[in-house]
Amino acid sequence: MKRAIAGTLAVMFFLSVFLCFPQSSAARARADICVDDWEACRTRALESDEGFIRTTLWLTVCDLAVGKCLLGFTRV
Amino acid sequence: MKKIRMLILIWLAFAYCGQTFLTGQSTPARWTARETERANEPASAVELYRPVDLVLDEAGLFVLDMDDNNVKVFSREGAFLYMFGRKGQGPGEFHRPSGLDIQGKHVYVADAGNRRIQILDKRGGYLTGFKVPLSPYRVLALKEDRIVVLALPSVRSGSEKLLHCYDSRGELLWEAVDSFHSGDSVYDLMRNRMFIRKAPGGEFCLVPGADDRIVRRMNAAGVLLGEIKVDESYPLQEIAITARGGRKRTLRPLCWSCAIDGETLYLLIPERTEDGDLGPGRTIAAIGRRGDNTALIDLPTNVSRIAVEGSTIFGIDLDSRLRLFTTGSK
Repeated sequence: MKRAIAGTLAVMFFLSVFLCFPQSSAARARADICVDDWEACRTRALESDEGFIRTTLWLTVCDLAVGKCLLGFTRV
Repeated sequence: MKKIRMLILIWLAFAYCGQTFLTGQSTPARWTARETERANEPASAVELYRPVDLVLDEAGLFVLDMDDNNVKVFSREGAFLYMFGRKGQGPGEFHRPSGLDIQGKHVYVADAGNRRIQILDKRGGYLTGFKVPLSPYRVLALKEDRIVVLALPSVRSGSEKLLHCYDSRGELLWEAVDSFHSGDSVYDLMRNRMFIRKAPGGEFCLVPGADDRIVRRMNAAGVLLGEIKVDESYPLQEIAITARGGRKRTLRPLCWSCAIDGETLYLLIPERTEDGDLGPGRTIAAIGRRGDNTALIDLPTNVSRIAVEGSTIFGIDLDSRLRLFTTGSK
């Protein structure tokens, strides 16, 4: 019985390592892309020669887009 | 009757002088700048896409073009000379560059998209560079080994440092000036938008973008040397922006762009647009060492970026074209 439990735990451990780790690194890579795009969006907004109200609206769009991107719906 | 009139006149004169003396305020002179035709105009029709930073040097006017990922160099008469840089991640390549400076024979670029500072020669030849753990927004090279980077704060995890100084190998030397943090990322970013400009003597000025009249003067060691309060005669306008939760917050922008020539700070005053917004203006205020608004310079057109040298003003108009102006008479 003990051997069966130990074996099951070992299998679960290796499965989690081999299946979940690539996913988490992919998620991290995705988060990095989202943050990079968010920074690009904010810099473009600040460097646009639109007025302060429009720049603020643009920055709000950047924030909404990064949220969607991190949740996996879209890219910024 | 004559004596009384004379006494009143003398009293008024003393009152005016007294006020000027006590408050340090005087009416700024009003100057008009006229446009100067650029040399070699047809041939210099090189296009600027999103010019974000201008630096004047003996070699000419260096313009950083964020969308074209390059630096375009013009003569002081406005003729296009050459350009360097292209999109990429390699040496001498840029991705969304946002800041530019020149020190001696070297050009410094805040390569924002690649999160690095690149050091090049004036022809664009790569010399060295280093990665930075932040989003570099602007760069100032006070000496060859004192490179000040103004960061764009993420404003998500509390207050962050805005100024980071590195040597030419990328070793962090000091950090200074905490960012404003209220938890509203958009409002905070507008509040934290600042300008850094080189001042004489290896010093620099940190100019607030909004809600503050205090210009900080600092040295290469990150020491605050003094604070210059821009005097009350300088117009600070209000604009209501939509903040978190849809509520309105008031922002008082100080300037749209700024430049330094000698000991005079030039602030481009934001102008009210037809739809009630505040955008790039056509009036530049000259601010003296004590914060006194010595002159207002009217330009013939609205500009978004400026560089000043003597009586010449280099400006980028709203169609991203380089324009040259000369300050004329009152």
